[in-house]
Amino acid sequence: MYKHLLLALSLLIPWTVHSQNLPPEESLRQVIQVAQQIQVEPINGVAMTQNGRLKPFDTLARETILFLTGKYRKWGTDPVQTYLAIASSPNAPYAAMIEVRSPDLRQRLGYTKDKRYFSLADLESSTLGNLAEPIFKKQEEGGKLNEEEKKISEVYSQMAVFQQIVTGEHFSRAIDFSLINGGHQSAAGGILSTTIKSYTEALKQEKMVEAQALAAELTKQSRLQEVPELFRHYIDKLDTEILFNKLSLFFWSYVLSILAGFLFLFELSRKKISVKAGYLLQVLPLIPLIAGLTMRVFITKFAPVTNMYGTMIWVSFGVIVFSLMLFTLYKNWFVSGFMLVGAGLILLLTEQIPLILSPDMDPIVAVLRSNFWLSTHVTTITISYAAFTVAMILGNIALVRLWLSKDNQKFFSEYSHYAYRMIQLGCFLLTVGIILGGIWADYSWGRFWGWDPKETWALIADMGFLVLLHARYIGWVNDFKLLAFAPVSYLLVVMAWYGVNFILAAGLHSYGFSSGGATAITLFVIVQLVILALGLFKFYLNKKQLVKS
Amino acid sequence: MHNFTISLICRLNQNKFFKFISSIQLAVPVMLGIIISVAAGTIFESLHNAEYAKMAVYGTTWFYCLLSLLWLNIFSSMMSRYPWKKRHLGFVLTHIGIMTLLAGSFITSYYGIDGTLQIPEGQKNNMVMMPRLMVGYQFENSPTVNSVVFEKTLFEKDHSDLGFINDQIGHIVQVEKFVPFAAVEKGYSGSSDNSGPVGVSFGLKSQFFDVKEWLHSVDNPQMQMGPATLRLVIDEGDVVQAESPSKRMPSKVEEQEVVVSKSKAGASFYLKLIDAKDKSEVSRIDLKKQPQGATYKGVHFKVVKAFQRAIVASNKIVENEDPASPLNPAVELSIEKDGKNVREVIYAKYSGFSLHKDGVYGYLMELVADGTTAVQGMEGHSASPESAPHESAAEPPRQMNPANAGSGNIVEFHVNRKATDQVKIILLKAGKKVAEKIMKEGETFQTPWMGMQLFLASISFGSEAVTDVRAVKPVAGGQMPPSAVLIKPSGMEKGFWLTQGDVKSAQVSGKNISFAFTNETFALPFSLSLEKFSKKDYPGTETPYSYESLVKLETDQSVHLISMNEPLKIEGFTLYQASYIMNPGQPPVTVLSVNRDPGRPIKYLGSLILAFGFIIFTLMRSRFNTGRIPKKSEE
Repeated sequence: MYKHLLLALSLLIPWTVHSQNLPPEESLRQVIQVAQQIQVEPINGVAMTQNGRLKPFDTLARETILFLTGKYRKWGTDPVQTYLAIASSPNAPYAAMIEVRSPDLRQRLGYTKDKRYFSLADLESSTLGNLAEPIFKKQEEGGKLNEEEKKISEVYSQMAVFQQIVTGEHFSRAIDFSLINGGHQSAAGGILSTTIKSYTEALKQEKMVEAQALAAELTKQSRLQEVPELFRHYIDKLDTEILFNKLSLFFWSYVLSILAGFLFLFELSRKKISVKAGYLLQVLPLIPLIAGLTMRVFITKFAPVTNMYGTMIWVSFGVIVFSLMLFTLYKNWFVSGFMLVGAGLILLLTEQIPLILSPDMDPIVAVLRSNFWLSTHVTTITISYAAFTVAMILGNIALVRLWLSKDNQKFFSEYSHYAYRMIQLGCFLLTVGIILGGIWADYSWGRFWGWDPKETWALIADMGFLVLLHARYIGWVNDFKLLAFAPVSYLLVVMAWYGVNFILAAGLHSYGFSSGGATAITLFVIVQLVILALGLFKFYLNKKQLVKS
Repeated sequence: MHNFTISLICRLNQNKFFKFISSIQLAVPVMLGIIISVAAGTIFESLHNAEYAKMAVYGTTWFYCLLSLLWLNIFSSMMSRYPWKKRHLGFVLTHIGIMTLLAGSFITSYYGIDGTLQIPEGQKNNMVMMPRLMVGYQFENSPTVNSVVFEKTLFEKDHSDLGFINDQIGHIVQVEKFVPFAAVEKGYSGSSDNSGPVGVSFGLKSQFFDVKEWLHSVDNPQMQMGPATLRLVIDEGDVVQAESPSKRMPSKVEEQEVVVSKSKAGASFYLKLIDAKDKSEVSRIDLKKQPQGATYKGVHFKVVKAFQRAIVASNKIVENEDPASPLNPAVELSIEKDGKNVREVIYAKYSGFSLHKDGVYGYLMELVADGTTAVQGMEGHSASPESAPHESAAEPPRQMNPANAGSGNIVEFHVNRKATDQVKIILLKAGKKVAEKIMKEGETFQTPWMGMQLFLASISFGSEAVTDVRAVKPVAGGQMPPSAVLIKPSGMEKGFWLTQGDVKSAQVSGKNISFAFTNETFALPFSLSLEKFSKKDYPGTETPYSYESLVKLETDQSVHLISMNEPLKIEGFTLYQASYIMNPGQPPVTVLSVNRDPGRPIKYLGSLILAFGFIIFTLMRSRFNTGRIPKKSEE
């Protein structure tokens, strides 16, 4: 992503250290003070290009500040304010604002493990450059980087981006559309760069009224530039995207879903809710969720399932829908309560780790550019994951309940019926999804089935649950064991969903490859296996006691 | 008939073996077996590649047996429930669906065609490359190719395992050995006989390249290396001593050329564009301000990479990692015009080393990096290195003249059969001798050209080409080594190795026969020519958003567009845009996937039955059908 920036950087004049020398805390305080005075609007509406699409400055600032600091609002200021403060405050290079995410790397740079934030000056005077140099060579020669090298490369990119913000190059490069078409700055680009200069100058001198007028001018001018055909549709969506950023719809969905879940789970509150209100409470979190998904579809023009972030939101949507379905059929408040909490937790996780699950709306690779197949094949597959998620949660409830209650027979019979139906539904959806994928592959790659890792693991997950269904049929698996093994088969889903892209990283489905989150997933797998082991242990303990008595 | 089936099924259901074959007790372990096998397959693919995974799992006989066992199990379990009742509908449909799907894929794997067709822009082709391997031979002047096709396997095979191949072509040629992953070393081995062909092995080393090569009087008497020609000459007559010892040639050029100060960031670094016709400077691209390059009059000069210490290693330009090595600023450019691109490398110091001496799209280029001086190295217009002018890069580039560029730099290796232990090296520039030296094996000669060192490794007489093949294990994440076969034509004493893609001629009982070991090829009944290949990126990125090939069908001259998700269907074949090869400086090559799949309708039918069966199955188990509502445990 930042390859070009690095190339540019390698030729740039090395950062010259200013004579000014405030203590680091004071520098940061000054920068934040500058940030607080900056008006977010209308500068956040400036049209910019980055990563193959047009986006408002609002989004660009969010993504950049997230990359640099690890959070959108580390110091309470809006990303737009933080960005512009870095660009305009003379103290920015000395303020510890760059997050070095690897504790080992912090030590290698000559600091303690708990110094999380570094200033640009810190990094420049450190050994980072020496560490990074061989890595870039390796990368350019086509070598695969290991985890440690990726971390060094990331911090180097963070430093480079920070430098570019300070010099203003980051902003002016993104705002000038003529650069993406050929290389020469156009007349419009020239006007823009003068306006940018006056704007940042006004910010530096704290002439806020003048800055506001210039910001409005800049926003207007940036949108009047000539746009490549492919980007034209974005121009009218810039304000929608700013609104989308502002609303944080998925966060509200998380809040509503967790709240409803707890109301369902506690005896005291549940007794006071009528069935109608129960329906309403489940539909409520769906409203912002659907609104959010719709806005993403509107902005990107593609089904919202092109990356891990999109599919996780889609799965939490599925969990709530299936929970509603179960509620309609069986009116089990407990089950729906757990599902709402489960869906809420997935949403929370999705929103909490934007660095790993990137919520960006950047465009998709050539092979995915078929809306029909994207919105049938991928959505069907991922909604089946939602059904399996429901079965997995049911299984875990059963495994935990073993330790809490003695008489479980009826409970198991009821819950295993729900799980059975959900697994059936999941298998149906996954099978249909795999077949649709086969047809799409046949249509665009010329083969129905090619044992590609992604399709193979989808099949493995499907067969994992089908084995469970067949074993249940011949009595190898009873009510409890169906519940106990649903989470085990779910691990296959995790592999198909996450593992192929993040661990195997091979095959034709190469668009979703990413890294990170390995710790979280490992933790999930371990916790799951521990719950299973404890549950099975308790189950056989109970059985033994039963035989004895 | 119906009654007969029922009674047969009844009798079969008494049979213990049939009971086992038709049981779910078998289905569950078979399914688990498939799960484990294919999971392993995905790991192999992650470590190596898809081909390896196919050889290890998906394409193996045992895997087909496992799938067949599943098929048999499903089939017999269905039959065991015959005659079917209404409640069996969902069960029967889903399982017939799976059986049909599996049957369809068996048909595809046996009768289907799935290969790739590569067509360079402006050329035509109809030969489809298939995944299997082929050993073939062809008599001289005969149009027929006799060949035998076999699957690539993970394991080495010797003569006894290759019986089926030798049964078919054994009367002419025996395949003695198959090595799936081979390390191949080609070289020459000498004999005591000093009348046969001559081979000279040497090394060339300079600050930015290091190569080892062979010259062979029959196979390879002359080769081109950059702007220089290397030539093997066999002198007849008596041995003549060199006119002057090599010490006469001090390597002054080298001392002169390295007037290099460390390129500071403030220094200039730009690309000069020169009109190829009148040699006038037309524009400058400042690579500090525009590190990605720029566009000049519709020609986009895109910087692929900039180097401070460029060095050529294994035919690639890379940055020299040794910071103590001298500066050698260079840029690798991709020059685009009208969707086509040309690769060019420009060195600040060695302007004559550019790939296109006549310029690209009418422009010559010169790289100017402050503190680095252009050097008259291997170019032709200075008679001797002593008088080479210390030329500044700012002067007009005389050496760019196409008339004398690249010509006249010759290294001759003179070998005399009467003095078998020495080689006389003669360096020529524009026909004039500039240096001469007698070398023995193991000696090094410091040439006056750019500090280039010539190392003489060996001289051998009566030398024959030998190919040494060793079986190796593919390294995880590394490149897959090629396969090799040991071929022994009948009547010949010794066999020879062929590696994947090799074609070799040999004389067998007085006839010339060419032998080939390649991927299986399949000739399409029609030829396609590639009119144009185009790749579009998302503006400002290198992410393609579409790529497409405009092809012309040679039979009726009709023109078709093949793009991602838009295949072309002709005569039962479907052609898909699979990939592309873009090597700078060469026309783009489109990679089409060619496919004929007689199993397709069967697989689609199976899918449909399976999906319907699933719906019926689910509905029949629901309370709408059974009327059962599960009891609640609490409340």
